[in-house]
Amino acid sequence: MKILFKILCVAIILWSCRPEPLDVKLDEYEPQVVVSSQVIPNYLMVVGLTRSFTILSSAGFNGGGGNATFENLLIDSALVTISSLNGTDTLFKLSSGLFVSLKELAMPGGVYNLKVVDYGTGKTISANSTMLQNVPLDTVIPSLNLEEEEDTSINLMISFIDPKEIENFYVLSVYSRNSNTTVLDINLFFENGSNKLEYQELIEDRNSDSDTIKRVFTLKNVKTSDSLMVSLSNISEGYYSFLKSRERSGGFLSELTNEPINYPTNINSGYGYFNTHNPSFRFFDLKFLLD
Amino acid sequence: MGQITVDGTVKDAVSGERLLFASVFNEASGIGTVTNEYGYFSLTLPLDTVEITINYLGYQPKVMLIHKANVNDVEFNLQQESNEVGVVVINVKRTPQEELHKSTQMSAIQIPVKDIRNIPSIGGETDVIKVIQLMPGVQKGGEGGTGMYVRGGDVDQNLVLLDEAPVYNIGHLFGFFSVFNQDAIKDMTLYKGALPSKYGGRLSSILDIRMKEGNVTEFHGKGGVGLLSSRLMLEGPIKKDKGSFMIAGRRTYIDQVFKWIGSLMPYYFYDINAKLNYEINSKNHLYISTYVGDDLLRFDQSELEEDALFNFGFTLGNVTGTARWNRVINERLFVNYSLIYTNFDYNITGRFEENSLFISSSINDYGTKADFEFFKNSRHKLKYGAMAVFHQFRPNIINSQGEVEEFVSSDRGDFLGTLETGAYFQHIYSPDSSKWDFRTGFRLSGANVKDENYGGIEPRLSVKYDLDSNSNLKFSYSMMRQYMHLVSSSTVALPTDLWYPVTNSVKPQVSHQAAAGYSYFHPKLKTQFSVETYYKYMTNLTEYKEGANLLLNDDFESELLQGNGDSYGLEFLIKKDLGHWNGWIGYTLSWSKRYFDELNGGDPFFSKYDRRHNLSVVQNLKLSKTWSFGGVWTFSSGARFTPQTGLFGMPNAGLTGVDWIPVYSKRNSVSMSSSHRLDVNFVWKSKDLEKFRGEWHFGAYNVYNRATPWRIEVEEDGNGGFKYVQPGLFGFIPSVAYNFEF
Repeated sequence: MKILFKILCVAIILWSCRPEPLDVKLDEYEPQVVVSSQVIPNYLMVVGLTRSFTILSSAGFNGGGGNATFENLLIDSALVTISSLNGTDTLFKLSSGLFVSLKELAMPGGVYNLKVVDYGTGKTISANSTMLQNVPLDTVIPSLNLEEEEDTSINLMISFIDPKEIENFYVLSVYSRNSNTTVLDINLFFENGSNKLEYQELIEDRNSDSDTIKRVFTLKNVKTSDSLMVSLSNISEGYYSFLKSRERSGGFLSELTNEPINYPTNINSGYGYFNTHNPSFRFFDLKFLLD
Repeated sequence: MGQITVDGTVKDAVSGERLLFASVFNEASGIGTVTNEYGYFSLTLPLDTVEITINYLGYQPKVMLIHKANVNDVEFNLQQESNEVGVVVINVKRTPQEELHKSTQMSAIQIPVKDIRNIPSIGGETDVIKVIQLMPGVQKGGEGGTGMYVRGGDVDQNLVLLDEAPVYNIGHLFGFFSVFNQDAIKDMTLYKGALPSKYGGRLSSILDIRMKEGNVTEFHGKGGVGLLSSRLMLEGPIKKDKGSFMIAGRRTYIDQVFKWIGSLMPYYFYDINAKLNYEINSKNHLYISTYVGDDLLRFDQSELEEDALFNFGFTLGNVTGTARWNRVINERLFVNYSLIYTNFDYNITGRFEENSLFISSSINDYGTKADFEFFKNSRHKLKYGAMAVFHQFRPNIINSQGEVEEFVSSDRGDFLGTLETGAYFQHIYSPDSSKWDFRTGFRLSGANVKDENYGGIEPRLSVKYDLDSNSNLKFSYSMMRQYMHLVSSSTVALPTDLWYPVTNSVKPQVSHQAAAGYSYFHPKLKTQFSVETYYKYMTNLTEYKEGANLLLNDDFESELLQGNGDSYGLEFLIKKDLGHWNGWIGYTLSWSKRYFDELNGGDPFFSKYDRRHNLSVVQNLKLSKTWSFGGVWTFSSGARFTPQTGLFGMPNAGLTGVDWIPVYSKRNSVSMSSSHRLDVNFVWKSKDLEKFRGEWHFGAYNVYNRATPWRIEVEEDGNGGFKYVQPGLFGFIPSVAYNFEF
């Protein structure tokens, strides 16, 4: 009887068919312009331009790809302008996908309008961003963590004064760079991509009772031979939502379990985010902690 | 002319089990009623001596002459009709469907479980929830699942009651099988609208399931052996003609089947139903019933032949318990008191080397209620009562150790208590010599949680107007309030769904539903045709923020959004309950939309299971004395989906590489392909022995092996490119099962 049952079970499993998936046609995907931007205080404004691509492609099927894929998406030919009350500036191409304005954007409260004409697709996109007041870092104190017996780690205490008159949103970032030479300049810090993001926090001042916002944390993977860069940016609520979306998507099992999301954007007919936040920086050569 | 009030019960003549919703009427006056949920009735007639006819589907009708001197505690015992072809009873005067047609109740479906045993299903095991999904107005969720989406509502807007106890998780095996064992169930009624005042707590539907009571005269058994599970039900008297027991158990042996064929699937589920009933005297009756069921999965190191220390498993299950006391206070007043307990919990354990994780969640309900029925006379019937339930929630108890603690931090999962209360009143008024019947009522409901009080009145109204003796028009309005919701990921089926109460920031869901319908009952063919239209407006519906991660999240409130929704549609039903050839055809045309400021860019969007057309053809046919056939053909418009259509890259936060960010279509903007499926079941009844009857079921699910799309994916098209495809879960699945009775 047991054998009969076993044969029956195997037969049923063999007879059971997996149905052929049904084909479905969706509207053809149209690539969109993707914008990223960064203000480097007292220096320049960089706008990165790429194109999105369909999931019905080799890279799409494989969930993206490496830097080579990214390089193929860079927009090589475009008219990029930024307009404000001070006039219109046409950005020049630094390299494929990278457009730069050398005009200083340092007008808190000023509204900047980005316009891009992508000559490759003929598409035009635009975006507005308001430059918010620069909020300086008040105190940044790194120290050796003596509680760790085997590995060196660094404690960091950071504070800044929150302008209370309006609701503010911040992004606080700490980068390290392993270098034998002291690197205390933003241009050199990110050279060769040998930097590493050690800590990032998105902060809403509505969660703080005090005018002074303070953070104390430990950087476990930073060594005394490293350099540190601490960056604080006062950002718009929209850009905060954009960064929050990215943060939520990077968590444990998030690819599998998160609800679908289209990231918020301020780009008309495009993706990404055009922001004009004006960050504050502090640099440290951690070797001084050994003195 | 005098007036008499006849009261009593209607029972199965052999088993002594009470029959619910049996028709009791006097043909001369045209006055009648139906037995209540406990088989009790009271009927007042303007006569001295009356002839009363009792009808119940599947039983031979009985006519009794009642004299004025003997009108109380009358017991009507009905004989089951013969199963032989040729003697199928055709003189049944009123079927349950006809009773629904004649009453003010609309938007309801009442199904005796014995009538659905031939309906085909996956694995050959009849599933009451899958049968409900074949009715107009009820949309199924994913293929094979037990999810119900009633009249454009959400899956957590259905209250499923088993002997009055709520069942929070109605699915085994991630919802592919319902937790209800067909042998333990007697009857079920689904209310999609026109909710009687006694029901509340959910916006969209109430599914009221009643367990069998057990045979009070003889010991009997029933069971079945299928490919996926076996079941056995035993019943018998604990004191002849006074009390009985029923116990039914079911277990899958998927784990054993896989083991036999040299594979590993250490999963099984089981459930047990048990009931005791005892008639203390003709005025008092006690019932105690319980359900226990679990899903269990356990992988461990030894079975996987892993060198590393590894194990993973979960248990997931419900427990319900109900104690009820029926009391006939006098010939016009009936009361039922109930004590109710329900538990739903899950426990997940995992260990890999030095890392371990334990996740647990539970909800416990402790409730009591009293339901009164006052049969004033043939024109007025009152129902009133009150209930209180204390819900004890303990979501997400997490204990993590090792490196996994960085991702999942430990959490004690503090208790959350909610007291939900309700009181109701309902008046059924049937004016003499009038074409109108009215059912008016209200329910006062409330909930207290975290020092916050919510509540309000829920008016209910049903009106019937007889066009002629066989056709009528009906109208109804119901307002409903719901004080809890389900936290469930829409992207992946995990055993981590949990119920959560309203709070200071999450407000109760509220619905207003109006429905109108026409119903015609053909008296000779015993066939009902009905068409109903409805509009439902819902406020404070819950959805999750875009990008929300609900897995192991201990701050659900911050991920929840509330908005509004509405749904409307048209439902057709042709249903024939008697004869060699019976069954139904149901068709639904419907729309269901949601309005959330923070979702889909503030634009309205369709709900996930907004399916425009749904058609079900369910047919049972007696082919000969030994063979019968059951067939189901369904057609559904595709469910809604939010497919990923593109990607873009942005420098990562460290500026050292690229993050690839998916691009999705607008929310639920894509309607997947329509699906249709044929399931068949042939039943061969072996020759009856004196005390044993057996039958073989030979079935096939998805006969022509067509996919029912459940998502949209991308795959290679074979020409070096890629294409969108819609996979289905289940193809052609043959089944064989043996059912028996003794």
